[in-house]
Amino acid sequence: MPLPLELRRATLAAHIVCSVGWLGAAAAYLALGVAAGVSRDVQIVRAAWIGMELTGWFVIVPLACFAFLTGLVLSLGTPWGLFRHYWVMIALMLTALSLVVLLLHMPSVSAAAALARTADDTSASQLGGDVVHPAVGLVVLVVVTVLNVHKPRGLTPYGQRKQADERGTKRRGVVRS
Amino acid sequence: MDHGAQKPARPAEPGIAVSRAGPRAGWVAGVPRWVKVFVITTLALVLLMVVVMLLSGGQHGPGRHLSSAGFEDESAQVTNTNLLSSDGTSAPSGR
Repeated sequence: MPLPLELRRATLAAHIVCSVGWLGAAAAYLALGVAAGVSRDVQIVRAAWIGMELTGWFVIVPLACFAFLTGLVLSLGTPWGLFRHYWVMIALMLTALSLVVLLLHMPSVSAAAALARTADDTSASQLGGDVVHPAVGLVVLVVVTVLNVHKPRGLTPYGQRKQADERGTKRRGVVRS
Repeated sequence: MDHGAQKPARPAEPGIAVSRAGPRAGWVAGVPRWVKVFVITTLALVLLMVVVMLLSGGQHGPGRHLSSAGFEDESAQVTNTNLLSSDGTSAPSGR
């Protein structure tokens, strides 16, 4: 169902804000993860893990959910569709995968943050950092952004069938008129 | 999925309007080359990550630096660590 222009613009603005915000929040999380990993100051390790938990649950997860939802609305409410173009399909899959990994990863971040709050200095200093997840996540988000901006051509078989159907419908309309 | 940022001149064939090779250049009969390259690269990277994960003992989360008790037993660990003094010896139990 096509979205009205104003609603489409509003959804697009929300989608851009959430997507760019997700990217920036993931970068901030990576900085905290690296700080927790390299610092020998146990207070920094504790603060970094608490910060990672708060950033994760209250910034990254909401932004990721809204970015995914607004992307779905834009796909279904515009001629781009969800499965017509390879770039849309790949961006959707990468976004969904990132969201699932994020939601699966956050409980262990909370557990580490709880340990950082309550453990003694020796245990807290052994927590280490969290670099792999945010780093890979950032790469995936950058790839999705590049796909969104570049929009490389290529119709899926489903998209080709839909296009052929639409052309057939238009031709039949012209012949009748 | 920034679909609305650039509304295609003809939505089903984005890029055709600016193509120098003519309108038919927008049609890709099979899977586009960039998709093949992307899929192969992604699979290779995923395989590499799985191998690295397996070689490092399967731990890749925040709990990898913790003891073998496992991250799921974090609450038990917290209790245990609180009972330990800073030099690792057991705190007096009061008995």
